[in-house]
Amino acid sequence: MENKRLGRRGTIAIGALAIIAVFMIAVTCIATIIAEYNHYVYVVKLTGEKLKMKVQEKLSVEQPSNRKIKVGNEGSTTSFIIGVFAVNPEDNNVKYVKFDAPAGVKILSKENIKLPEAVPTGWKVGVLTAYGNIFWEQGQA
Amino acid sequence: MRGRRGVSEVLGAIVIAILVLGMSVSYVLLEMDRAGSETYSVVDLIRGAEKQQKQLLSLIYYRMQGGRLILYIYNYGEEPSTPQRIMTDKEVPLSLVSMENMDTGDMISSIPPKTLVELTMPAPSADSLTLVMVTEEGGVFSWKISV
Repeated sequence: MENKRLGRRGTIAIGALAIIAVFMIAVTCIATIIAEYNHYVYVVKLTGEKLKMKVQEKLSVEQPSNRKIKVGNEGSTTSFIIGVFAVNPEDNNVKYVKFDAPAGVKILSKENIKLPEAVPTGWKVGVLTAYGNIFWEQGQA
Repeated sequence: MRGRRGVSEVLGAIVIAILVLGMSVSYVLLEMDRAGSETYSVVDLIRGAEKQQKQLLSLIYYRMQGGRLILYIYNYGEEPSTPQRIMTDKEVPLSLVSMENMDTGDMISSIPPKTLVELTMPAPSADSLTLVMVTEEGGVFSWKISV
C-alpha cells in the first residue's frame, strides 16, 4: 500500500516536472521571439527616422574655386557631407572626391569646405550627404 | 505469499516509474526540439526582415556612355546589398552587369554600406523607364530613369 502510494507520488512528481519543463521551453521560446521582434521594431524605427531626416535635408552649393565649395543648410536637420560628385559637361565623365571625415553643416549655417582634391570649376558639382541625397550647385540640377 | 506480493508491487511501481520517466523525458526532448526549430525559423524570418530594413540605396546620378547605362548608387544603410535581379524594360543578365567601388576602384559584387558604387549595364531600349533592383538580402528598389 505504502509502495503504491510512493509510486503514485513519484509518477505525479515526474509528470509535474515534465509539465514544468515544457512550460519553461515555451516561455524561453516566446521570450526569444519577443526579444528579436523588439530589436526589429527598433531597427524599423531607426530606418524611419533616417528616411525622415533624408527628406528634411536641403543644401545650397556654390563652388568659389576648384579647391573649395560653399555649402548652405536650408533644411531642418544637420547635414553631413561625405564627398563631392562632379560631372564634366563636355564628355559627361564623373569625378568623385570622398572626404576623410564627413563635414557637418548645421541648420541655417554656411560652411566653406576645403576639397582634398581639385575639381575643375566649369564642372557640374554636387555634394553627397550621409543620408544619400545629392545637392547640385545652383542652376545645375 | 505476502512477501511475493510485496516484491511484485515494488517491481510494478519501479516499472511504472521508469515508463513514466522515459515517456516524460522523450516528450520533453521532442517538444524542446520542435519548439527550438520553430523558434529558430521565426527568428530567421525576423532577422531577414531586419536585414531588409537596414538596406537603403540611393541613385545619385546616371548617364549613358557607348551603349551602356552607368548608374551611381550610394548605400546609406547598414547592410551590404547584393543585386540579384535588375530589370529595366527587360531583365538584365547579371553577367552583363559590373560594379566598381568608387572609394577604392575595386570591382565588387555587393554594395558595401556607406559606399558609392558605379554600376554599369547594357543600355535599355526604352528612353524612359523604371529600373528595379532586387537584392539577395530581400530589398527592392526602383528608380525612374530618362535617357
